[in-house]
This record gives sequence, C-alpha cells and structure tokens, in this order.
Amino acid sequence: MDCNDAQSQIAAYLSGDLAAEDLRAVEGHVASCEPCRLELAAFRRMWAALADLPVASLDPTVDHQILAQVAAEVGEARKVSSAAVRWRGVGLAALVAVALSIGNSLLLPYEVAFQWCSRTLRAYAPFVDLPDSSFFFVVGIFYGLVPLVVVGLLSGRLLETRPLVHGTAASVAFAVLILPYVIIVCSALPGLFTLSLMGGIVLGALSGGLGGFWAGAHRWLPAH
Amino acid sequence: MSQASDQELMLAVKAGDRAAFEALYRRYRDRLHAFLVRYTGDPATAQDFFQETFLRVFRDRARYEPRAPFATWLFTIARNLYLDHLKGARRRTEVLAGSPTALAGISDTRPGPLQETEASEWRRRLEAALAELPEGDRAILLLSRFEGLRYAELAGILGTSEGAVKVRAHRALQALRRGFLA
Repeated sequence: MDCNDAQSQIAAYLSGDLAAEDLRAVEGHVASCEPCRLELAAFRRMWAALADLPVASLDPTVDHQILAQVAAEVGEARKVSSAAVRWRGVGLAALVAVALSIGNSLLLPYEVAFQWCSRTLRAYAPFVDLPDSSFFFVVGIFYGLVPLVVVGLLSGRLLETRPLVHGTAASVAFAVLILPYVIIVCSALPGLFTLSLMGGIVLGALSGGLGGFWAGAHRWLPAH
Repeated sequence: MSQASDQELMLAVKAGDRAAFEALYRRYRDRLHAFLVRYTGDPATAQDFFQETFLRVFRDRARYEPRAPFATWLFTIARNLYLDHLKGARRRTEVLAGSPTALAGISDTRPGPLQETEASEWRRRLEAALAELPEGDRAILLLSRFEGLRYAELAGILGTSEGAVKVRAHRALQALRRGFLA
C-alpha cells in the first residue's frame, strides 16, 4: 500500500468502516511512514474536534408539543376506530333482524298471517270493505316492526349514541336485504300484494328501528 | 419498556402504543436534535425539522418495516424532510453556501472575537467548513461520525451504493480539512 492508497482510506479508517485486511494494510503503512502518520493524526484531531461543536439545546416545550400532538392523534384514531365498530354493530343488527324476520315468516307464512289478519279485522265494520292488499300491508308492518324493535332495543343499549341515525341505517339495510327473499317467497302472489307487503315491511322496519334504537339508547331496557 | 429494543418499541408504536413512542422519543431525542443542528446549521430550522420528523415517524408508523434499524429509518425521514424543504423553499443556495445567518443560532452563544480562545476559533472554522459541504456529504460525515452508521446503512439512506458513500466520505473529510485549515 502506498501513501495515496493509505490516505484514501482515512475516512473509512476513522469511521470504522475498513475491512480487517484493509485495516491491517493501513496500519502497517502508517507505522512505517512518517508523513502518513502525521496526516492521520491531523485527521484524528479534526474527527475528535467535531464532537466539540456546540449544539444549542432543544426547547423543552417541544417535548410537550410533540407528545401532546401524538396523544391527540391516538385519541382521534380511537374515535375513528370506535365509529367503525359502531357501524359494524349496526350492520350486524340489520342481519340479525333479517334472520328474525325470515324466521317469523317460516313459522308463520305471509299468506297464513294475511288470512288470519283479514278474517279478524273484517269482523269490524271499518275494515269490511278494505281491499286484500291493505291486509298484506298490515302483515308487512308486523314482519318489519317486530325484528327491528328486538334488535333495536339491544343494539341501542349497546351503542348508546346517535340512535336515530343508527336506527334508520339498520332499517334501510334490513329492508334492502330482505327484499329478494320477499320477492322469491311471494312470486306466486299478485304484484300488488307483494308491493303492499314490502311497503308494510319498510314502514314497520323504520318505525321499529327508530323506536327500538331510541328506547335502547335511553335505557328503557334493564341492564343485563 | 426501557429495555425493549428499538424494533420492539417501533412495532408497539405501529400497534398504536403511545408509551412506546414516548420511550423511542426519549431515546433518540438528543441524537436527532444534535444531528439536525449540525446538518442544517441553524437551531431554529433544526427544531422545526425535529418536530416534523418525530410526528412523521408516528404518522407513518404503519410503513415501518423492522428489517432496517430504526435509527436508519429515523435519519432517512429527517433528511428527506429537509431535502423537500430545500427544494420547495429554494433555500438550497443560502444554506449550502453556509451564509452567516445559517449559523447565527450557534454563533450567538460564543464570546466576541476579542475573547475568542484558540479552541473556539477552531470550532468556528469547523462549523463553517461543515456548512460548506454539499448536503449529502455533510449527512454522510455527521451520521458516520456521531451515529456510527456504517457505509452500507448510509447507502440505504442516500439511495446510492456503498462504494459511492465511501468516495463521498473521503471527499467530505478532505473538504472539511481544507476548510478547517483555511
């Protein structure tokens, strides 16, 4: 190794980035070369002097500002996260309501409920002349109202906040999800009957969802 | 918490652990600040980038990959933020030229010319020589000298090869000495 080679390695030598073989070569050369020894000593002094450069101290309020900002952002993230959990809860409530409503319709089919409803109500004077589709509408209210009241009372109690928004969302989701089932099950019925049934389901779901979520959020249901 | 490695702490930060962030902050606070003061040559600028760097660490926590040392990631963020600032604010010329104002924050704390000792004269020359280095060379020199980062790690930070870092480190040291002796 000559002087040029040795001096080109000084930066790597000072920072400890030389491979063992190169390190031995540099040290071997420097040990036998006075100019390079002096050169290395001068660089070493400068390397050491870098640590003596004054560094203005950090304003202590910066610590508080950064940590407070991070704390605020963590809090914000948690809020977002809990909002996401709430909306998942609303979605789950809608699914449970669909399951309950379908369960209802399997235990008590729409047509059976219609026959019972029309027979019972037509015993009273005001309902005698009502068309059949009206009774499908009433039946629909029952199939929409009951499941939404049940899930609304429970979900509203758990979610606590914004019951009217959550209740509306759950009701709309329920109506959209159950629509294909109603169409399939009522495929043999006249279109007007299916439409009346669906209208009743939507009205019942909205009433049940809003009322159920609101009552649940206001703790009308005892804690369990 | 204080016994946990940087990687363990950063993975906890990634999971939203604020206490882990604070532990990492305390661990790197002085090192990053000292680097930024020497690197930018201006305490006020250094403080701004110090804040921005730590907030970026927190906001970009999801991007952290434990394959690279945390220190490498931290100093890469700090340097990139400063480079963006230089590009955006067209301050490159002023800062890299080592204008008198760039070192004003440090100079203010020193005694006047008549009271200057030989040691403080050395420091003044060294500061000026450091400020005149090209930005990348200055980063290499400071991170190598004070953070003990290896050339391979510096290559990752600067997005270049290890060989290129070695050449630039040599060039920076030579330039620093020339400025120091001037």
